[in-house]
Amino acid sequence: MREPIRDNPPPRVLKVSGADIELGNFVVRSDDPGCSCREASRALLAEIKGLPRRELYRYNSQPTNWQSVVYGARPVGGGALHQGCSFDDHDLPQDWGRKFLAENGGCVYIDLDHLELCIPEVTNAWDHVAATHAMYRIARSALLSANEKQRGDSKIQALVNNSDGQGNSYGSHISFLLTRRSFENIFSRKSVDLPYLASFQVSSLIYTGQGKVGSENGSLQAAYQLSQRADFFESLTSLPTTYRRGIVNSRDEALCGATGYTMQPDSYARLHSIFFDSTLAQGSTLLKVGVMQIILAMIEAEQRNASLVLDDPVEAVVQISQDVELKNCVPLASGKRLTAIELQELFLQDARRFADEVGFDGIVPRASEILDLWEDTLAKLRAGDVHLLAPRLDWVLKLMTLERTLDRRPQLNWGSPELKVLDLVYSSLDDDGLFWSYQKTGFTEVFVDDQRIEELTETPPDDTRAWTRAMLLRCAGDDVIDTVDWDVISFRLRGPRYWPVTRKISLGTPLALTRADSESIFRRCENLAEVLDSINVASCQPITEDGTDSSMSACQPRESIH
Amino acid sequence: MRFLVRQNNRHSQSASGDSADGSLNTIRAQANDLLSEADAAIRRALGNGDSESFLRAGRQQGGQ
Repeated sequence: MREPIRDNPPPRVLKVSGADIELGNFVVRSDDPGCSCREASRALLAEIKGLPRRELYRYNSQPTNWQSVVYGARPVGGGALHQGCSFDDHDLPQDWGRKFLAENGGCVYIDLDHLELCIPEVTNAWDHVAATHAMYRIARSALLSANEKQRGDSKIQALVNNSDGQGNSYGSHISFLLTRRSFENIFSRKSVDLPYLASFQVSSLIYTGQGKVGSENGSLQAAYQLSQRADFFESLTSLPTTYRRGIVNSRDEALCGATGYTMQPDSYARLHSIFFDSTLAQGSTLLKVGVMQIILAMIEAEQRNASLVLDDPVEAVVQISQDVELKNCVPLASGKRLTAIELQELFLQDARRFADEVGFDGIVPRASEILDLWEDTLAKLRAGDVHLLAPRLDWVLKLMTLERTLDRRPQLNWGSPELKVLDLVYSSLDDDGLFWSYQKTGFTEVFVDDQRIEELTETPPDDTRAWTRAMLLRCAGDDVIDTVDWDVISFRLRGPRYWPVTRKISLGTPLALTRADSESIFRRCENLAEVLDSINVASCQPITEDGTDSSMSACQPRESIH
Repeated sequence: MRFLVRQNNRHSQSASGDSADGSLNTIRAQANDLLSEADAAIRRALGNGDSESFLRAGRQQGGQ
């Protein structure tokens, strides 16, 4: 059915974000140089405490819902769910052994033999940085424990990167909450939104890239480039994430319960961005997430600038990535030619104007600080002060490391394996990780303090559903938890007779069941059944914008829709 | 000449005024001290043996 005529201003929603970060993992040993990523990833996962997800999805023995199988996405409307032969975890190489963490509400699992770290949902870019580093700490702790159990000279390596330099890439995905209307605009309706978003992302490599020695996947040869992932984007948009990757991924999996699949313009959707590199520098991560929040807020408000669209974003992604001097121009659809810096300056200019005329209040927390950091970074890049950005940006810090090495070891060149080793070890989670060495000396810029990172290893963010998820997992324990997913938890409780009773709690709204919403329930109730009863009541009393009760269907978004 | 050195020199040539140059040099010197401390990590990384076998071991499955 067609959406009714759009005569209202577009709804907007707080840009909640999440991330799933695949690690490079392998075993280094003297006697066996074969692929060891499966062994390494499983050894790491075994060291992380979490609640296993069991048989969440059941399929026919001949699955027809290919999307669910290939992408781990859920079938829309539940029509393809069957109580038939089930795939167990061993049959889902992209989602093996998933565990949710009762400590912080995030999760870990194995995706195609990579340990994958998922942060809990957060509302602002600073918490995104802190939660990301919290997950790195959890993985590092697992790495140290796993290595204690290794025999002989074997040692597991875990890298926060996206490429092995041998043609294999693995992702670092960021999710952003959008309105359904905005999602439909990007992928199904508006002619400018998708290329506008792609053009922004491609030009943002100048501050979001981790840096990489060499090139892969048929790209032109390069000694060093800004991005780990640029060589692997082959189309403007795509559903697949493992081949023919698109700059803008079109996966439509809201993870917002039933409301995520309704076509109401103010219901929720999730943009699943597969474009960006894993980043360690807090500045790179803050800019990567914060500026995307700003651009998505502008797209959601239907205020984007068609004159900033690149002519060929797929070609430009490699051109920009390989332009370490930041001097080359790329063509725009308008016929103009601009450098990536110039293009980013125009995006910034529009964002400043948007901040003055419309505003980011309630949509992008601390937007003015993000804008200032973005502006300062672009100004330094434009002025040629690239070296001053080494404490802020990964690609610059890595380049500085490599150039210092070349200066001190004249026998090496850009093609030397030693440089590739440093490229990889830059992001190692072990003691040999170069990034952490710079951090220890105080060289890197700090945007979130150590205390906040430590907090988010042990506690969930207060202001999203992650808080209630973590508390429910803590209350229930493994013997009562049936299944867990981002937007639902199912419990097996003792029934009145022999058979257990299954209870489900919907966490369909990322901004509901926050600590403020549900802490009193956990304090008041004496057992899990009471908690579940109270949460069901709390989560299904919709409140409209003016605070009055609504007769709309239960579990609608609350304060988040503006 | 390396890229960052080129950038650095270009900037020095275009910077105007002694005080701006001076403070920039101070920052550079401080940064250099901090970087020197991290050089030990580079030495360790390169001293761990055969780089080529490390890279072979690092071969990954493709991912998302």
